Formats: sequence, structure tokens, C-alpha cells
Amino acid sequence: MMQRTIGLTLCLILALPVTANAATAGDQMQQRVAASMQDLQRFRTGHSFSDLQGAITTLFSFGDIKSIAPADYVARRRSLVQAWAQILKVIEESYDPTYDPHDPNDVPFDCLIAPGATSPTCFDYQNIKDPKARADFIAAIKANGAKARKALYYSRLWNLDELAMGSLKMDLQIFSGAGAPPDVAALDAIIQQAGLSESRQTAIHAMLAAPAPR
Amino acid sequence: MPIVRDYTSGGPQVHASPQSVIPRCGTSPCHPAVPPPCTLNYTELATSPADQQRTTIGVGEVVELSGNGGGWFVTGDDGALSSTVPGPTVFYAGAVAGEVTVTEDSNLDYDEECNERSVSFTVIAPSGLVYEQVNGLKHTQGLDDIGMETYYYLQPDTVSFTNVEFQEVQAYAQVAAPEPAAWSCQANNPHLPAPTPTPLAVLPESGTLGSQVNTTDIAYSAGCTFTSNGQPVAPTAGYEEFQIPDEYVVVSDPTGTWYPITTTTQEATLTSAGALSMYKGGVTSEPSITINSPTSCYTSFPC
Repeated sequence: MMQRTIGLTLCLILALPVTANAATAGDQMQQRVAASMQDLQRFRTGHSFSDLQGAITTLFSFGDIKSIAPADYVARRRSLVQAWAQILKVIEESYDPTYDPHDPNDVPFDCLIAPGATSPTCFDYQNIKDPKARADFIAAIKANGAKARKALYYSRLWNLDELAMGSLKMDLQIFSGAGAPPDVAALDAIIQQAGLSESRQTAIHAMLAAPAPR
Repeated sequence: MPIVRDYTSGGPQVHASPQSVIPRCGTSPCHPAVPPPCTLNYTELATSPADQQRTTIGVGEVVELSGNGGGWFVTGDDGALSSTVPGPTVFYAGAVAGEVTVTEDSNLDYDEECNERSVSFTVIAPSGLVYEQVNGLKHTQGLDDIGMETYYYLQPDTVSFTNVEFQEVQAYAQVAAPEPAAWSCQANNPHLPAPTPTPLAVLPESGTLGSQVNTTDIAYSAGCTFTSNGQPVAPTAGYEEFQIPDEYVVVSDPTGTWYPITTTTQEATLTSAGALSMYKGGVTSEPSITINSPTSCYTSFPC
């Protein structure tokens, strides 16, 4: 009886910190998800890439997997993937579908030559005497500037897209590496319900179906 | 003495510091005298270059890290972490070249003790530009004008500069003088308009030439040797040269500071033998032409 009591006490002593840690980790992860979604909402309204970056990095650093009780792995991972799906959906909606960085027509020039003129590159339009030619040149400069800004926007968004996809992949690996059981069908369903593009669904499915890292 | 061993074959040096050795409890279950180094996984976000386990990275490059340690800290020249608590984190290389070490702290958890572990990165800045001629030449028959379009790439090609943006800085023409030397009327003309154009993005994919700046560069020197009634005069040998400073900024750098890369020479030349050429950053226009070559235009847009 004494031995059983000592054993039970020892188990309780050993178990208590784990339970406390698990609760803390759960709270911490929920806080990170909530903070990430707040950043995402700010991006939706303000369109500042720093908010989108904040949403991604906050969600990626969800906390210490060791502090999550194994019994909670499946539920925690589902809520994490749900949040990633929201971020990725916003990213997809932020692309300009008419822009193709590999289309020569979408590539900006560093600067332009005045129409029909033997003038230097980046010629100052104020030196063009003919009003129509000057107006055309100003319009061309503005159009080229818009191309350059589109290219910058695309590049910054693409980089954050890569950050989000890479972060999701590593988060999934952390769960599977810790021994979380496969849950491909349910996670696929979350991704599908988010309305992500087929190519992205395929890419994420490959992450979900990948064997656990050793 | 620190424990130093190869993390992977040909991989980085991983260090376990003796200061962070965890005291032994002396109770059962027994633990090794020195806990093993924490696990430390890292992956460069850029998929181009293909090697995502590099320890040499570009300014602004993003590295994702995970492990079983007790948190993260960074030491060295320049860089930042998205999170310092246990769990995954993101390392952002800074805006300037240097050496940076990301360290995963010891983990004192009873059931999974591990010792401090670190990975060191050499951060490099763009060191130069490589130009590649595209889209033909612009020329007007009888005039000393020549234009060459190029794509250009940030060097070296061993890292990614996708988080970098680029700009040329104002420069002023140096020319042969006096008239009728080619381009003599362009003396001190600026290379860029005011205000300065929008900074240029860098494409995500890098190839054998490096990280491509997302623009088509036009190097053009215009014929300007005319009589008082506007008729062109055959120019004599001459040149027009710009020394163009090139700069980069790291997108994630909160200071938004532009840093120099190099100075690129752009020079149009008319030789005494009548050959007309444009040179920029190591590339000379092709095919070779003379003043009397037929009028031609880039294929990218009407001239």
C-alpha cells in the first residue's frame, strides 16, 4: 500500500508539470493564432505588407511542441492549418491576376526614350516642345512607373507567399516529427474549404502526405 | 573545450558550449554526463539557388529554424529573429555583410535535456552586376545614336537576393569635345530624370547569372550633332560616358538605407573608323554597326 502511494505521488509530481505546460502551450498557441489573425485583418484593411509578414511569422512561431499534450496534437494541428489556410487565401486574393512577371510587356524599363526623338534615355519631358508628343511621353512614363510598382508589389507578395508556404511546411513537419498521427483527409478538407487554388491545394497535400522527418 | 563536430557531411560547424552543461541530478533514471546538443533544423526560404542548407546567405535572406531547445538568440553583425521563445522561428539576415550566429539555448526539460547548439551564417551583399544584351539595337541611319537593351543580375549567384531592391543613382555625361565630336552636346546631361524612378524589384528565381533585377535597362546615347537649322552633321570620333553608382536596399530593413554595390560604366563610342557601339557593365553591343547602318529598333517597343 505504501509502495502504491509513493508510486502514485511520484506519478502526480511528474505528471503535474506536464499538464500545466500543456495548458500553457495550448493558451500560447491560441494567443499566437489570435494575434496572427489580427495582423491578417489589419493587412486586409490597410494592405501593409508588414502586417502580412507579422501574421505569418506570428503563426509560424506557434510555441513549443513538447509542451502540447500528444492527445491534443490532432486538434492543435487542425486549428493551426485552419489559420494558415486563411492567410494563404488572403495572399491568393492579393495577387493581380493580370500581372505576369515573365511577360515582357509587364517588365518595366529603367527609363524611356522620348517618342520619335533622338534624345537621351530618361530625357526630361519638359524639353519636348510639341504638346501632344509631351503628353504622350508623360503618359508613357506614368505607365512605366505603374509597371515598376506592380513588379515591386508582386515581388514583395511572392516573397511573403514563399514565407507562408515554407512556414506551413515546417510547422507540419514539427507536428509529424513529434509523433502526431496522420490526419490527411481532415486537413485536406480544411484547405479545400478555404477555397485555395488547385495548385496550392496540391502543394499542401504533398506536405501533409510527406513522411515524418526522422 | 567546446564540443565541435560536423552537423552533416560537408555541413556547418555546430558548437556545444561548455557553459551551458546541465548539472547532473545523480538520480534514476540516469542521464548522460553531458546532454546531447539540441536538434537544430534550418532551411533557407529561397528555393533558388537549389541548396537550402547553405551557411552563406544573401543580405535580407530568410531562414526558418526549428529545434527542441529552450529558445533562440542571435549574435554577430546584423540579423533578427521573429521569435526567441522555444519552438520554430524565422531568422532575417540583416542589410549588410557580416558573420551571424543563431544559437538555440539549452533545454532544461527533465524528459528531454539538450545542450546549446548554434549555426553560423556568413551574410554577403551584392558584389556586382552582370549584364546580358536583349532585344536588338536602336539606331537612326546617319546619326550618332545607339541604344542597347539589357537584362541584369546581382552577383554572386550562390545566394538569393530576392529580398533586395535595386536602383541606379544619378550620374552625369562625360563627352568628347568640341563639336562635331559625337555626343559633344550632351555634356553633363543627367542619366536619370527627376524625380528618381521607382526602385526596382528582384525576381525570385536566380539563375547562373545571379538574381535578376526585374527591369529592362536601356542604355542609349542620342545623336545630337546638328547645324543651326536642325540638319544633322556627320560627327567625328567621340564618346559619351556615365559612371553610374548602383545601390541596393533590403526590404525588411526598417531604416530603409540604400547601400552601394558598384559603379557601372556605360559608354557609347564612335571610332575614327566609323564603328558605333554601346558598352555597359562588361557587355558591348552586337552586331557591330556604323553611322550609315540602316535604322533599327528594339523588338520590345516602337521607337
